[in-house]
Amino acid sequence: MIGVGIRGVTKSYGALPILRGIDLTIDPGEFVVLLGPSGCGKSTLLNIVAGLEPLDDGAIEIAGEDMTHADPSKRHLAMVFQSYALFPTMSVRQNLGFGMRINRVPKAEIVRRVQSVAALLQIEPLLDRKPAQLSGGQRQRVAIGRALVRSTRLCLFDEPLSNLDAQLRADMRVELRRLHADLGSTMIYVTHDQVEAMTLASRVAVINRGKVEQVDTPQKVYDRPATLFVARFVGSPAINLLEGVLMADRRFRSATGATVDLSGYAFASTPRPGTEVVLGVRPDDVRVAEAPARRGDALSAVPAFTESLGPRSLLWLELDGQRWSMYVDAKGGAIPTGPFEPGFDAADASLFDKTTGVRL
Amino acid sequence: MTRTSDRERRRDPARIALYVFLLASAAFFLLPVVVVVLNSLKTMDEIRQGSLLALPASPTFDFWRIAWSSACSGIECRGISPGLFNSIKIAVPAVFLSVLVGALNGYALSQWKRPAADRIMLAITFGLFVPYQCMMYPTIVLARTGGLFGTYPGIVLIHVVYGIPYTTLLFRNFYAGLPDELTKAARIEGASFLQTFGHVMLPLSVNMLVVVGVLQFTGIWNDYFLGFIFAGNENAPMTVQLNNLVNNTRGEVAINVNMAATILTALPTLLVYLLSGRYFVRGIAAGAVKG
Ligand SMILES: Nc1ncnc2c1ncn2[C@@H]1O[C@H](COP(=O)(O)OP(=O)(O)OP(=O)(O)O)[C@@H](O)[C@H]1O
Ligand SMILES: [Mg+2]
Repeated sequence: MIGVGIRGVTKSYGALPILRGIDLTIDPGEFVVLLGPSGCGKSTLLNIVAGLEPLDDGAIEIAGEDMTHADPSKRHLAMVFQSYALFPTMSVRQNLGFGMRINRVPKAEIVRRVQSVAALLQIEPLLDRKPAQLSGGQRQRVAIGRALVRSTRLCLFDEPLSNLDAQLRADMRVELRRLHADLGSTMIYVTHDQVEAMTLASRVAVINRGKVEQVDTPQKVYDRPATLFVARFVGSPAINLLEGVLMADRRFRSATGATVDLSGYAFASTPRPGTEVVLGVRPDDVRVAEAPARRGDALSAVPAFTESLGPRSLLWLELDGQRWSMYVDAKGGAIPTGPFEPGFDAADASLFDKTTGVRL
Repeated sequence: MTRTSDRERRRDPARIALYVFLLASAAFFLLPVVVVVLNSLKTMDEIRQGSLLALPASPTFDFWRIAWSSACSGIECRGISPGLFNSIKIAVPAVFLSVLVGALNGYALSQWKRPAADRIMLAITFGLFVPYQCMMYPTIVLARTGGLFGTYPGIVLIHVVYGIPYTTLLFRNFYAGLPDELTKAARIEGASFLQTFGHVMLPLSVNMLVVVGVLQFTGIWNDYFLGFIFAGNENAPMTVQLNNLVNNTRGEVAINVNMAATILTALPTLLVYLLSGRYFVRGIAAGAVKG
C-alpha cells in the first residue's frame, strides 16, 4: 500500500490548458475516484500519474518518492484502460503473464499467479482464448486481471466499466469493491458516472475544467457540495436551484420576491447582505410544508407531473419559473394536485455565491 | 438470401455484362503473357512461319532448358541460372532488412508525437517522390568512397536504403491506426520500446509484413537499373543477365529462348504472389479499414 501525491500539476496541449494546477493527496489503501464531465482532463491526469504523458509543471510522488520524470515501468503500478487494451495476438493466459515475462519472473511463479488471479476473477475457462473471442464483460475481467496479477500496490482505472451494459456494470462495481477490500491496494479510478463514484469511492475528487473542485467522501460531496458545479454535477435527479439575493436578516429572496429563512444554515463565513446567491436543495430534502407560513412572500410550487419510481414517485414542480423535483410516497401519501408551499430544512440546503460559484 | 434470388441475380443482364467486361479485361492483360508462354514452347521455324498466337504444334521445354543453363550472353554461355542465385542472394536480405527497418522506423515515428516527427515524416515522403535516377551520381560517389561500389554488400545496402522511405511510410500509417492504449498498456507492464515492438506490435503486423514484403520483393527482384550499376559483374541479378542474353548480338535472335528466359525471370515474383495471396488480400484490406 502506497500513497500518491499530485502536486500542482499543470498540462496544456498547445495553447489549450487541460490541467490547471491539480493538487491531490491520496493516502495508502484509499479508493479515490476522479469524477468529472467528459473532456475535463481526468484521463490526462491519470496518464500523468502513470508516467505515460509528460507534465508541464508540478510533481508526482509515489510512496513518498519523487516520480515526476520516472518511466512507467519504474512506478510499479498497474492500469486498466477504457478500451481494455488487451494484446490481440496473445491468449488470455499470455496477456496475464506478459508483464511478469518481461520482468523475468520465474515460469512456475507466473503460472501460479495467473492461476490464482484467474480463479479470483472466474476466468479460468477463458485462459486459452484470444481477446477477440471474448465478450465485453469477459475482456473487462481479463483487463482487471492483468492489472491485479502483478500485485502492484497501486492500480489505476480509466473508466473501466463504461463499455458494459447496466447490469454488468452493477455486478462489476460490487466485484471491484470486494477486490479493493481483499487486496487493500491503493486505487485511483476515473469515471464520469456519479453512481460509480458514489458507490466505489472512499473519497471523490470532482474535477471541472482542469481543476479539482472538491475532495471529500461521497456523502459529503452529495450533502455539502463545495461549489455550484459540484452541486449540479452530482446527484440524479439534479439538485433544485433558485437564484436570488441574500438579505440582512439571513433571509434569501428570489427574483419574484419569495423569501426563505436561512437562519438554520451553517454559513462558512458571515454572510454579506446583498450578495447574489444560488440556493440549492436536494430533491430528497424537499417536502410539503407541514406548517405553512401563509405569508404573501412564501415559496409557492405548482405540481407539473409525476414520474413513478416504484416505491416512490418523483414529483416535478414549477417553482418561481424553475423546475424543481421532490419525492412523494406512491402509496398512501398525499400527492399535491394544486399550488402548495414547499418546505425544507435550511441546514440541508446549500448556498452558493452566484458569481464565484463557491459555497457560502 | 435464398438460392433462387442468387440464381436470379446471376441471370441479371447487368451482371452478365459485368462478367463479360471483367473477362475481356483479364484476357487483354493476359495476352502478352500468353504470347510469351506459347512462343517459348515453339521452335524458331514454327515461330517464323505461324502467327504469334498459334498454339505450338509439339510443345517442348527445350528452350527453357537452354535459357536456364546454356544460352550465351556476351562471352559466357551459362544461361541465366547464375542470375537466379544472385537475385535471391540480393533480394532476400534486402527485403528482410528494408521491411524490418521500415517497421521499426514506422512504429517509432507513429509513437513520437512531436512536431519534429511530422517533419521527419515529410522529409521521408519527399524522398519517395524524388526519382532515384536524380540521386545516382552522388550515390555512386558515396558508394565508391565507402568501398561498396560493385560489391555484394553494396547492392544489398542500396536496395535497403532506397526501400526504407517506402516501407517506413506504409508502416507508420499502419501503426498510427492502431489504438494508442496498446503501447501504453505494454509500457505499464514494464516493456521497453523494443520489447513492445517485438512482443506486441510485430505479431499484430503479420499481414502488413507480408504485404510490404511482397511489394519490396517484387520491386527488388524486378529492378534492373540499380543492379546494373551497383552489383558488379559477379553479382549481376537475373534481370541484368536477361538483358545481356536478349541483347546478345551474336548469331540469330532466338526469340523462343528469350521468351523462356523472360518467364524464368518473372517466375519467382509470380510464385511469391500466389503463395502469399491470402495474406496479401487480408493485409491490404486491413490497411484500408485500419486494423
Ligand atoms: N493528444 C492530445 N492532443 C490535444 N488535445 C488533447 C489530447 N489528448 C486530450 N486532449 C484534450 O484534452 C482534454 C482532456 O482530455 P481527457 O482525455 O483527459 O478527458 P477526460 O476527462 O478523460 O474525458 P472522457 O471522460 O471523455 O474520457 C480534452 O478536451 C481533449 O480534447
Ligand atoms: Mg478519459
